[in-house]
Order: sequence, then structure tokens, then C-alpha cells
Amino acid sequence: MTLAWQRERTRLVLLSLAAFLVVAVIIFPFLWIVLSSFRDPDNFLTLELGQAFPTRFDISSYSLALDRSDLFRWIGNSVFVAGATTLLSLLVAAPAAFALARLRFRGSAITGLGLMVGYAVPSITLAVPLFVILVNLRLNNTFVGLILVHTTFTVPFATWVLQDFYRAIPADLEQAGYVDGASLLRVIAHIIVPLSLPGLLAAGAYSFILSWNDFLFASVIMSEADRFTAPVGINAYFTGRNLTESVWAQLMAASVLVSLPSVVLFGIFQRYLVSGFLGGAVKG
Amino acid sequence: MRTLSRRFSRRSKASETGLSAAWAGLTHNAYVQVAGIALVAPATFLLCLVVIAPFVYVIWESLLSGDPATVGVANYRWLFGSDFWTVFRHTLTIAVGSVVLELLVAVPLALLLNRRLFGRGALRALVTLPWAVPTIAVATAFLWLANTHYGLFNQIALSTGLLGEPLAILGEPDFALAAVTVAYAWKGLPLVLIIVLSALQSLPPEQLEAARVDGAWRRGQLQHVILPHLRSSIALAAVLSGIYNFALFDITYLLTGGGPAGATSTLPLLLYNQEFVALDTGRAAAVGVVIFLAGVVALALLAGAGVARRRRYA
Repeated sequence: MTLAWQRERTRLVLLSLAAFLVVAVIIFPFLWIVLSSFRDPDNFLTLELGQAFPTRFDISSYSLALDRSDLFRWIGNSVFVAGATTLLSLLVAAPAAFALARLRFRGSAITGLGLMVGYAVPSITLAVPLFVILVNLRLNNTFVGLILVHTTFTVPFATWVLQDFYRAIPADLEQAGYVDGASLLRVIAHIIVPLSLPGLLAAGAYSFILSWNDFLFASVIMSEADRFTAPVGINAYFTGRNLTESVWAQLMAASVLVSLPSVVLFGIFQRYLVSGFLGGAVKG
Repeated sequence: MRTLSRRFSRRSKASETGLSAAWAGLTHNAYVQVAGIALVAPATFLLCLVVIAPFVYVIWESLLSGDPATVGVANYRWLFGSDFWTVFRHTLTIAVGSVVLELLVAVPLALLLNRRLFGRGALRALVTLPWAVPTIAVATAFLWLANTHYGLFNQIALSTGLLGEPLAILGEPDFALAAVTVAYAWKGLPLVLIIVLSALQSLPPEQLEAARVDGAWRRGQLQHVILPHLRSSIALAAVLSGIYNFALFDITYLLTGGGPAGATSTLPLLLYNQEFVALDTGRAAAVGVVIFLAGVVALALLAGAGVARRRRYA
């Protein structure tokens, strides 16, 4: 009995170790830029394998990156764009998701179709008309234009994630509200919203990540360095520059910095991702 | 001010009386109709504005702009007369190659992560992390790993004697294509893994237990019980990820820019160059429509395969 238990336990430990190793190998490319970002920027490029690993915790690459480029401003722009995109997306996606998940009404089909098209048309295809339209409306190179464009992928994604949350709320709770004489609006305010708060947070987090990570739209819509988002600014700063030791080190630090908000938000909300993935995966 | 508050209170009262009669049937139904439309209206309006209208416009533009003599087909005639098939082949190679890589890693990994493990939640979170890493950082990571002299890949290959001299990975056509494919697979792995994992979780645990003896798969159980159960999910994940990778622009743009000598030029890059470098919206639109249609064809093949399977087993 004890022997079997011990054998079981040994196997569990070995399997866990193996799984950790495999996962470490998979995420290694990202781990490697994190490790590299803590190296000494003056001795960044080395031909010796042994010197490729950081020997001490050096954050001068980060201060250099923030010092030499407009990274602070670009991150600020990104915070504004991603924040506003998230608010706008939740504002329109939450009511729509609730109606699609809980109400039977005419017009749900056309909204569903809009969502499907929103998923099915790749971003790169939409980039052509959206750019032309924004130029004609004089909204190119503006935050408003970029925020509107980001909703092409955040709204379908957020609606999809939220529908799952609304469907999971027991109908009994809702009906108890109606029986007590509450209106639909009160049922939404007092029963649905509090219960779907985790869903709103998750959908918001994903909208933020998608908007924050976007490179394609931000790079074609923003033409002035003042208005670059962080990914576009980083690319503009390092493209065509002579990649010296210090510049490589700054690139590592800047890339880690721009990844940080997305990675942290994702870490908190990753378990809610399944539904969004199943629905929103086509978006390119 | 007073009229406003009065009007508001009257309206909210009306709605409340409407719903206190909620179970009277018709009144409630009418109310739900109105409420439903009102609730989806903002999202529908926004999506019409930023997705549907632009989508109609891109099709229109692809057909009706360009040489007036051949209106309707001018942009498509140009597209198929250019080096379209070379670019298409690169795009397809990267998309299919990355999906194959994703599946080769995701399916065994999903089977592993579905077992009882220490820190399983943390492992799942960690391994899906590439989804959240911005493409600019993905590009940095692979540029750095693949660097000719200072990249880790070359350093390890040189110090172990695998390579005699450093290899310019992103400078050699075949290796550049491979590097781009790996980067796509890295970014796309979480999607495939999560879909396969959630399909595995829908299998009854007893069935999984019965398929194992002493922690190893019972002979034939993996091929005949587990994998058939996963087949439709794997197909779905492969097609979705393939469509995504087929239309993906920024990783190639940032990693190689289509080089060396066009070896990694993809349809999204072709579109970008037509729209933003050559400033020819009609031609860019034609490329965009072709990218969209490729996705439609892939989905249709998936649906067709599903129908054929169901018919065969019916």
C-alpha cells in the first residue's frame, strides 16, 4: 500500500518536473529578453556563451531606454488609447452581450451577423478601407481614430467573452427579481451587473491587452512621433539605428516594459480566456 | 430641470408597471423586444461603422478602381499577373508550417497538462503567456535569439560544434522562412493549446482513467479513444490558427520585412506595400479581399469535412 503510494508520488513529482521543463523551454524566448534586459549595457554583445547570462541585477538598460527615447510619452499614449478603447468597448459590448445572451428579440440575428463579420474580416483587410476613411474624416493621426479602429477587434471579443458570463447567471435569480416587481433595468443594475463583475473585468482586461499590443493599426494611423503608441515608438526608435551594444540593451528593456502590462493583466485573467479564444480566434 | 426629472420619473414608472406585469405575457414580450434592440443598438451601430461599411468599401474598391478599360477585374488581373503565387506560397508555407508546429507541441502538452500535476494552474498560465506578449516584443525576442554573432542559437551551435561558423539565420532565405514560421507558432501556440485542453476536459475523467494503466496509456487507447474525441477540436484549432497566421502582418514585418530578397514576403506585406508605399488602394484592396477569401475557403473546407464525416457515420 505504502509502496504504491510512494510510486504514485514519485511519478507525480517527475511528471511535474518534466512539465515545468517543457513549459520553461516554450516560454524561453520571452524569458531570454527579460534576462538579457538585466545585463550590463556596456558589455551587452558577447561572443562567449558563458557571458550571455546576467551576472548581476543591472537596471541601467531600462533607465537608458527611458532616457534616450520618448518611451515615457509613448507608454502614456498607449495607456490613454488602450484605456479609452476598453471603456468604449465595455460600454457597447456589455449591453449587447446581455441582450444576446438573455433576451429573445428580433434584431439579435443582425447583431450576431455583425459580430461574425467582425471576427471573420482580418485586421489587415480592414486596414485598407479604415485608413482611407480616417483620412477622409481627418481622423488619421488622432487618438479618436485609433480608438475607433481598435474597437473593430475589441468589441466582438468583449461581447463574446461577456455572453458566456451572462449565460452562466442562473435564470432563477433574474426571475426572482421580476417576481418581486423589479423592472428589467433594476434587474440589470442590481442582479446582473454585480454578478457579471468578474466578466466585465475579464473582458475589460482583454480589450486592454488587444489594444495595447496592436502594432498594425497604430503604425499606419499615427504618423507623428508625438502620438506613437509604445510598440510603434519602439519600432521607430530602433529601426535604421546602428545597433550598438547599448542600443540592443535598450531594445530588450523597452520590449520587456511594453510587455509588462499585458503579461500582468493576462496572468490575472487568463482562466477566463477560453470562451474568448473559441469565439475570437479568427481575428488576424 | 423639473420637467426633465418629472419626465424621467414618469418613464421609469411606466417601465416598472410594464414589468410588474411581467408574467402577463404580451406586455413583457413587447418590452423585451424594445429593450433588446436598445441594448444591442450601440454595438451594432459601431460595428456597422467600423467593420461592415469598411468591408463593403474594400470589396467595392477592389472591383471598381484602377484601369477603366478593364473595370471590375483590373486590380485582380494585376494581382494574379504579379508574383502572386510566390507570395501566396510563402504565406501558405508559414501558415501551414506554424500550425503543424503548434499541433505537434500542443496535443502532447495538453495531454500532459490535463493530468494531476504540482502547480498545474501556474503551468497553464505560463504556457499561454505568449498570447499576451506584444508582437513588437516577440520580434525582439526572435531577432535577438537569431542574431548572427551574438544570438544564443548561434552561440550554442558554435560552442557545441554543431556549426563551424555563425549562420546568418535571418539572412538566408530558407532559414529566414523557418524563423518566421517558428515565431508565428510561438505566438499561436496558446490558442491551439487552450482549445485542445478544453476538449480534453470535456472527456469524462473515468474514461481517461480507464484508458491508462499505471499512468501509461493502455495500448490503443490514445489512438482509438482519446485522439478521435479530440479530432474535431484539433481541426477547429488548426483552421482558426491557420486563418489567423495567414492574415498576420506584424511579426513578419518586424522580423524580416519580407526579406531576404523577398523570401518571407507574405500577402499581408504585399497589401501593406501597395497601400502605404505604392499608395494604390485598389490593388491593396484586391489583396485584402483575397486574404479574406482564403479564410472563408478554409472555414468552408472545415465545415464540409464535418458534414462529410457526419454523413459517413450516420
